[in-house]
Amino acid sequence: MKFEEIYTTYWEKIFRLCLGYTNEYSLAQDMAQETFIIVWQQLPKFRNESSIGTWIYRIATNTCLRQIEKRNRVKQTALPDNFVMAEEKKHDIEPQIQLLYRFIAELPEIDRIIISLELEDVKQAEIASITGLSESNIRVKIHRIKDRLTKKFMENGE
Amino acid sequence: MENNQPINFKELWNKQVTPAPDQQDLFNKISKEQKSRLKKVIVMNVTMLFTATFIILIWIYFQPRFVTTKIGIFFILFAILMMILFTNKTVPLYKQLKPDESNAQYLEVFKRIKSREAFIQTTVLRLYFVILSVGLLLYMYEYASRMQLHWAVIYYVVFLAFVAFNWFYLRPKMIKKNTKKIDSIIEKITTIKEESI
Repeated sequence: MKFEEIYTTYWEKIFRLCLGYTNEYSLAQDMAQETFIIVWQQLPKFRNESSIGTWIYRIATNTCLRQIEKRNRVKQTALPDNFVMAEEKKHDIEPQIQLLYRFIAELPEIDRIIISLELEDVKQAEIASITGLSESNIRVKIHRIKDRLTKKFMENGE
Repeated sequence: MENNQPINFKELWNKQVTPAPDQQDLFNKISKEQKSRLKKVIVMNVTMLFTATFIILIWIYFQPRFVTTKIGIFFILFAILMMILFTNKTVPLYKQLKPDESNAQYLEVFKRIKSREAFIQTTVLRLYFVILSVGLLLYMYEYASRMQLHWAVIYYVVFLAFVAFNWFYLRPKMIKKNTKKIDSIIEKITTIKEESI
């Protein structure tokens, strides 16, 4: 697979994953670009040991985790419900979508990754291989995270 | 959305507006990164070359007669080179961090690297100050011995004050600053790992 092809195929998926992790639009854009810089550098070393998707998701999620070093603490401050950032207003109008991304970004780091991959329709076996956790653990976690998100939506009156 | 109806997370997730992929920006970033990497290598080599030239010039120009001066020059050179080499030694450490490993493995290696980095920074910094101070002390001896006594005393008092300032103020401050940042990163990695189990 050519780099250009990978880039156009995976760009949106990786961007959403990064946005779920940070809930900051421009930071997510930077992180997604950072992911593709690594993909570009590492592509000659890719040995088809895993599917290209798993490989890219591993790079993307590790890039997200690496943010610990850069920012030390990912901003998780919950904004008031009626607060809409000017930047987000431009890109996103549906409050429910905003809430979903905000609630995901408030989860523990690995949970954010798991649920984002699940919502991207990545198979549970693949999620297990990306995160390094067992498949049964992933199954339980997805169930719990979804429950938690539903609860948050309900508390928010949605 | 009705309360008793399950929320379709996937639908909401996919409705998020995404920016258009910008390949031009990506390639600009790639070339910028390559340039900055090259710049780092050049700066490091030029620094080492300048240090070595500087010491050799001192040796030739001042023609030190005492063996203490020569040993002093070696110590100073050694301290500077050690600092340059070891601060860059953290770079090969990061090569162990494979970006396409699973998150669990990645975090494990990341944590190990950070602990090693903290150790190297603290130990090397301590050694650097000791070797540099001893080197300077030996180097200055020849020139001080040619001075009048009161000038030599002032010379050494000022020097010892400088060493004390480095050792008791600068060194702990630098170590504290470095380890504080690294420690908080290690702590965060540990929390993430614990939460993922």
